[in-house]
Amino acid sequence: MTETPDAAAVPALEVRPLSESPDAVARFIHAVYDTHDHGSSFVPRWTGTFLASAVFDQAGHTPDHTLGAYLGLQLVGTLLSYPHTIDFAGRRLAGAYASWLAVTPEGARQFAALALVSELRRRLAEHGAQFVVGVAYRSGPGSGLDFWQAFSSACPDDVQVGPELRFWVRVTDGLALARAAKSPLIRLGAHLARVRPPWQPEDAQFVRRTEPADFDACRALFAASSADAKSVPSDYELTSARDAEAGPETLVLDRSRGIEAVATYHILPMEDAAPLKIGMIDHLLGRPDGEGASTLVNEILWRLRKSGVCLALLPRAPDLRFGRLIRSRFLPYPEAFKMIYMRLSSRAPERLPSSFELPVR
Amino acid sequence: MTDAVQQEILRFICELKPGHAGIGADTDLIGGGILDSLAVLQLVMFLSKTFAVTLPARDLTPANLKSAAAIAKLVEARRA
Repeated sequence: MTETPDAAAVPALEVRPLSESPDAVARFIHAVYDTHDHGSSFVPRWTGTFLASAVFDQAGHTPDHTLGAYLGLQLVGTLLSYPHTIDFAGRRLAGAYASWLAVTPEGARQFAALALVSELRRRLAEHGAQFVVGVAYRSGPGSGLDFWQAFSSACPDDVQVGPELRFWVRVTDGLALARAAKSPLIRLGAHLARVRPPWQPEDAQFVRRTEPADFDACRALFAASSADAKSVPSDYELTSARDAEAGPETLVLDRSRGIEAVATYHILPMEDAAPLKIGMIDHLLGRPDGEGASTLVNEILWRLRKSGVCLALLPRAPDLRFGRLIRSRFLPYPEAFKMIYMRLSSRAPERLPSSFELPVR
Repeated sequence: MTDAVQQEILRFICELKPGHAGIGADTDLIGGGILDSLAVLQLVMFLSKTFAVTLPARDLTPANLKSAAAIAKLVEARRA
């Protein structure tokens, strides 16, 4: 068979476990994201330290969880995941949370995104994963949510998009947000929000980082969530990173009456007109009869502000009541993200329930 | 049958990518930069509607999608 010059010049695409360091992976993702038109969206700038803590060092992580697409030795795509267990209406299933899909134009011409998703499904299923979940947001024509929606329409047995993921938003530093945001609307909102910066709650002295002795009590709070699909965090997931910029940090409210509330959050550097920091509060759970969640979230907002964060996002969850959140000055975030769901076994539900309490990374 | 499938695929690709003139059954759709991931997904949706064929993601490889002729062969294999 005679090869055409083009075929000879381009090596075949190969998907295999990433051999690059977390720092190099973070740099690769940034470089890819910089080639996209993000419109008015903020562009995330995960650090290698964060990826190491949240993904590569996770308990149960295998090389098959973090894949690269290669043309010869050249990295042209990434898709990262880590083990995550979910309780689906009483059925506890092991699976994975996946995100950080990034593909260069050279990779796109070799369908690297499709190959990465397909290979991740295959490898994780071999490890016994029953599902993969993730989050997609609108990040520019042909990428992010556009890609996943097209994928879901073309291959509905492989990928589902939905339900919607909505957020509460709290401006923690209006001046910093106004300086960094491109959108005039966000700048205006940021100035208005300067009226009431976060305050430290009276019970702040009872907020502390988790200790191994807290893990069962924390998991009990997760289990008490009324969501139909809810995280069952591992010990590793409940263990705080060095700080919220180095990886997810878990705090509890403990007034010597048992753990009353638990929250996991992290700080994500982003880029808009200028660099800025966003606080992402993945999980916020408290006893239904108490105000523990309010105390804990107010303390997190206070800490985020002190860390230079200008905006905090909190995914809407069934037990987070608007009345309580508005007292902490949260408002509904106008844009809806979408959950990604891939079913890898017949034991997993056919669709992700619309009521969920899951991580957002 | 494959010829008819091939013609439909070529017609769709020419509509999807009007800037690429002279696409034939054996034109290299990948090396020529004609298809990317998103275009492939649009093509799969078209194939699904037109030929009532379901293509799983694992089928969407460069080897299977390198030309209209290869895509037609894939469609025929999945219809069988």
